[in-house]
Amino acid sequence: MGILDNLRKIFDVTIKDNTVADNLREIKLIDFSNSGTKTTNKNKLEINLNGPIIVNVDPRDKSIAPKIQEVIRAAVHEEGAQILAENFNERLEGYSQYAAGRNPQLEDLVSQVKQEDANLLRAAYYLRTVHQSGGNVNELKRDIVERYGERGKNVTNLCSAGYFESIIYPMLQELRNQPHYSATIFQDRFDVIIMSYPFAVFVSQQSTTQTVAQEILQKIETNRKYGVHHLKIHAIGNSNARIAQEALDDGQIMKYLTKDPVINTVNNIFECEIIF
Amino acid sequence: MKITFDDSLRDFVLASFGVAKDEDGYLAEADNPAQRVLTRDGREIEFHKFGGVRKGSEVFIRDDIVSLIQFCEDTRV
Repeated sequence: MGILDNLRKIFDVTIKDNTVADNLREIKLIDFSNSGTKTTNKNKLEINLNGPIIVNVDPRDKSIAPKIQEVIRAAVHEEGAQILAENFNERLEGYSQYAAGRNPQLEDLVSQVKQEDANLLRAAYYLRTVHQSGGNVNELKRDIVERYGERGKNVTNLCSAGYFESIIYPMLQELRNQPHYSATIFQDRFDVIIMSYPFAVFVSQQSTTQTVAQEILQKIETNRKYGVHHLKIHAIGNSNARIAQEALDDGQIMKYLTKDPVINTVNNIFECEIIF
Repeated sequence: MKITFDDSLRDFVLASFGVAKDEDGYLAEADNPAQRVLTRDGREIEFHKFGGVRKGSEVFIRDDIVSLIQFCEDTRV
């Protein structure tokens, strides 16, 4: 017996329109005690021909609550239904819509990185899209860092700053042109970039002028050894931008610079390139 | 087929699968609170991060962006 039949039996409801069962895609469980609905809707089934079926549930009602719980369990085990928190479902729909337009460059990168990095890349690209659309990304960033730690933070920063397009993907294409290419070769180079990203410094809420100056100096000295003479500093927000500018005033850094720093600030995003 | 539920029905839905919140706020088996419920990739789930359940035999979903992405990839048609 399907979920709809089970619910009809519990609520003693007759559904005359056969298309309801055929078109059924979603059932919503509403907490009767929170919904503000009228008393007459308690423990009732609302049939919508063109939308989800609504089940007003009173969890405190011992005569009916266990029967609904049995239906939920059967729906998952026997019919393969998914039961999802409303908030999670909304976010899932948002992400699914975004992911439907597959990004060929992202999918190419995902096919080459280690398996454990695949979802990290997808999350970083998604975070960037949300940020560019003006959405709040604090929770997304927190989720990524909680799961992946420093690596997650670095991938997210590098992606948001456009380095996947400007450096990492071109590197993959270049490596592929070489004989005996394998994904492992790209993965090794990718690891180096992700964990040390010699071409950029990111200022975060945890940064101080001293830590940023130290990182800039260390990367200048490393890059010079390898014949690289430029570095970009990224900061989002006025206070992070101020820290970046104060760090650049450090005398030990200034002695290396061959030109004035080129600063670009757009929509609260600070970017500075230094040449040394 | 998708069943969605209000946040306030978390306890009710979890009880359908014999799961409850333990004293530290994590999902655990109701009749064996020492046994925490894990996601498919072995992570514990805080009560407020309970995203849902899907078949396989019972896959509990944690509500974070990485789990959401994996769910989407797993269920993509």
